[in-house]
Amino acid sequence: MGILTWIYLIPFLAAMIIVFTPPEKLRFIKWVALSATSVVLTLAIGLVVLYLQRIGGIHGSELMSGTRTELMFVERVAWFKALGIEYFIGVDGISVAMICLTAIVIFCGVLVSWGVTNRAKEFFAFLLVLVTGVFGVFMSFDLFLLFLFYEVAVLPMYLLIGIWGTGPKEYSAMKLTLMLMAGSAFILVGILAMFYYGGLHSFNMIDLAQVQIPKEAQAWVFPMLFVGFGILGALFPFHTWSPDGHASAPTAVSMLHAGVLMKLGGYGCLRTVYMLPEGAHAWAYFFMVLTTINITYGAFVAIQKKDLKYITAYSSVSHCGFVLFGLLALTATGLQGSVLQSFSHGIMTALFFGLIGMIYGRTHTRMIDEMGGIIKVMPFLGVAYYIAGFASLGLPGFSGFIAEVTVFVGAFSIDDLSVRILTVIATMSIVVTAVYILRALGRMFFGPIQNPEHAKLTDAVYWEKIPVGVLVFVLAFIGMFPGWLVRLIEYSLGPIMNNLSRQIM
Amino acid sequence: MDSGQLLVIANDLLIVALAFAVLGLDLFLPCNRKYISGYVALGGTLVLFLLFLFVLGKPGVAFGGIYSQDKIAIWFKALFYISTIITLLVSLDMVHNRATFKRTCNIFQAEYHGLLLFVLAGMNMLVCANEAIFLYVALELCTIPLYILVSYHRGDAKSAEAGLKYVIIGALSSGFLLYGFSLIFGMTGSTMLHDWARLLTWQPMTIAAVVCLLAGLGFKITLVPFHVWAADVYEGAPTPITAFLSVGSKAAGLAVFLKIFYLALGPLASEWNFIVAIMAAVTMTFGNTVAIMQTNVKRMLAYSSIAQAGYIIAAFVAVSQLGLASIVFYILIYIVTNMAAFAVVIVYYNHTGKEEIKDYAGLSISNPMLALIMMLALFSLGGIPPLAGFLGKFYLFSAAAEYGFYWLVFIGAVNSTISLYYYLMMVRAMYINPTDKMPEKIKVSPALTTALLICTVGMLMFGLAPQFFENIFGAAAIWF
Repeated sequence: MGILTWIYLIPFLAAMIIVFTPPEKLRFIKWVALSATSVVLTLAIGLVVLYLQRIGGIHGSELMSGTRTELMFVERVAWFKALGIEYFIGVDGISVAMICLTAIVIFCGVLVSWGVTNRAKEFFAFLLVLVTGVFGVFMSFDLFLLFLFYEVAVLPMYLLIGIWGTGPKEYSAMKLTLMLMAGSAFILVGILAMFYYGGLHSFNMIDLAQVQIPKEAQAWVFPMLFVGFGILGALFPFHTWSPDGHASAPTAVSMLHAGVLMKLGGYGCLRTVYMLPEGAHAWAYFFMVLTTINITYGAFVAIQKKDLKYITAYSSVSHCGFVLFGLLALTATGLQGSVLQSFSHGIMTALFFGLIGMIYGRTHTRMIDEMGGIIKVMPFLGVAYYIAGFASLGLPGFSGFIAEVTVFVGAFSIDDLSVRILTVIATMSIVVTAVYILRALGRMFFGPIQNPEHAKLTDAVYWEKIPVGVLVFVLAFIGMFPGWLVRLIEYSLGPIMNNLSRQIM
Repeated sequence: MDSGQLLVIANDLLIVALAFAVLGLDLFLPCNRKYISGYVALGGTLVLFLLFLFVLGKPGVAFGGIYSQDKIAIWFKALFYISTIITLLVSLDMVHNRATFKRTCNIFQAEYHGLLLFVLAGMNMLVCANEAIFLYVALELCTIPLYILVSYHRGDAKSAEAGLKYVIIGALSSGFLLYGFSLIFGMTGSTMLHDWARLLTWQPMTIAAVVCLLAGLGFKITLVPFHVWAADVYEGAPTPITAFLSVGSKAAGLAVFLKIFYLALGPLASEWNFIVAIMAAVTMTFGNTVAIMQTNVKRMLAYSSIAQAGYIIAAFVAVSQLGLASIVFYILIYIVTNMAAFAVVIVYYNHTGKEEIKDYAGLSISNPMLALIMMLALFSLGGIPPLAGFLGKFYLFSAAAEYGFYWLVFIGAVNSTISLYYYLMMVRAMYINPTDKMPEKIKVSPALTTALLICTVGMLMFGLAPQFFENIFGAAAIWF
């Protein structure tokens, strides 16, 4: 078994250990979860370093050529032969980046959940099963395997939100699960269509990308897959599960969900574009309009929300719109921005939800009107929240800036007036973002302390400072040294771009 | 008749012999020892199953082609054995316990087990039948004992009602089936299935025959609109029998369906598969939407099993090796999955006498293992990986897609989502809903523990190990 299998297997094994531990041994359970995620984080960072070494370092200029994505760390075994299904995992640079993101977020998520005491055993077990699925999706290159991991990633969410959530948790959990499963219905049809139209008797994504599936088939298979994955990526008008789900979920789950799970959608869409380039060209503009609505609509709704989690959730809808928007530009720069935005938004939103959880744990309210001046009692959390806010509105020096600029440049470089208009509209949402972020920051943290109870509150403790510190560090690190991430993505975009241009030839 | 032929039918004869032995033994058992018949039936079936697996389960033909045991038939027989063994395991408590709170003893224990073995014999015969009359007789052999078993709790009005309904509907469906057979006989002059495949052409009379056959078999495997009896019968019957009806008897119905529609009407597939596709879509949609409204676990599982029949029928439209293999494989998965769910219901009912969904509140805290198995079973029914149900459905849908029925795949996949709603309602009752009075800790009897263990291992193993499907897929080649 190679490094990749271990990356997803370790959380799963830890979950199994936890299942068979008596629930009274709370400390042991938490330490199992933490050590498993630390090991995985180490492995993921190791993976990044190894991958970068193999492609000639950060400053290398070599790009992947041809239309075949060359994978590394491949593990490939025939599995269900009757349908040519393989256990086929491997990584390209994009997968490496996403695996790294997942490892960071789950590590922080476990630390943030350190205070969970209600049925903690099941909580950590479900959390680890969830992350197993997420890791699996990012490394699978067999459509069946990808679909399998995808569903594993979706379902634990129901229980995580239903049991440990707040507010209308059962409603939100059910809505989220059913909408995402409906998405997987689209994906299933798309996968089977790929299998039969591809005619290779295989679900191998890379091989399928080499086949020119008939245009008429692509014309309906592409939207099937794109909408299927898009639902998870909060594509308008299928985004409605996301605000409710995020608002009701417990802290670690919101972090993981907005930070990583929604990125599964974008990632799936990226692979769809790779496999069905002709369909992508035909549908790009249509979906681009939808994602523009995502971006602006999400931002405007965020303005009028008073609940912190809803603000961040709608801001996620808006930011995840950038991921799909950049992707649909179908230019190298746009794709690059799209993946960068996935990564950056993942870290940023995890930080947001983590902080909101910590603040809510103290003030017991998430309404910004009921807070005020709390930076005086919790300076650490306040400053961290500021940093997250600035990253979110795209301040240079943080990762959000790099990502959004790349997306806009990528989209604007298309020589087509209507696309440029959409880009301009999307760009203007940044101003709206500034409005809701700054307004929330001002009301929550400054001014006199409104509620005298809040004066007695305390600042973050050590197990809260570590994850916040890690996430802030990553945000700034990418903001200032984006080179390694850019190199990872850039190296792997070649085959996708070559595939996209194959019909123009 | 030479000894080779005798060897081919030996398995079925031995089951009949065992059934008589169980009934005969009962005459010599004193009242407080009647429960022994259950263990004899269980042990005997187990021995016969092993004998079948290692000695008797060889392909062969008897009675001049009327009876042919091919590889698919062997797989089906194994499935029937598995479902009967699990049913016997989950019945032991109920059949025995009834004595404890009714009278000093239940004198009808041997009848229960004996009749179940007759059903097994009937199922074993029908899957080998290659001739219409023999097929019909075998089908009746496996249906008539079930009428009695359904009304086994004869003091209970619901059980008696269920029995009566089942008799009437069963007779009606047999009538349809026979009428369909006779129409085809009129056109072809033969009762052999392979003659039908050779001689039948698509003409108005064939349409009438196909409609009759669809109706007759539709009753057996609960296809909408021939499903109306299912929920009442499932609710009224003793729970182990409900479990058996929903898996074993359904598997038998599907075997007949396969025999007639694949072997006899296979060449005309392109004419009838659209009708079947529509029925599949309607069945799964209806089953799932009605299941949402149920508050009783047994009724919920009854409608869920109607929906599952819809999924299975969806794979019928591809008359191909993949279609056949995926159906057989799904039945295998469905047996362990549904039996797991029913086993939990039986355990819970035996101890508390309750079977409403809301009664399960707090089960995950008082009995975490039972709740976990129930959840796994429900997720497997809903098609969630890595459980077996996911792989099974994936194969079924890929079979439907093979013939180009993408819309059916879509409806099927959307239906999986709908079904997840009510499966999750059950999960919610067990895991999320707060409760003021915790259910007490339940001590599960050894027989039920074994059944739960077999089913759970099956659910996990069939979903990940490829050998089972490979084997079935290989076996399915001989029909095409």
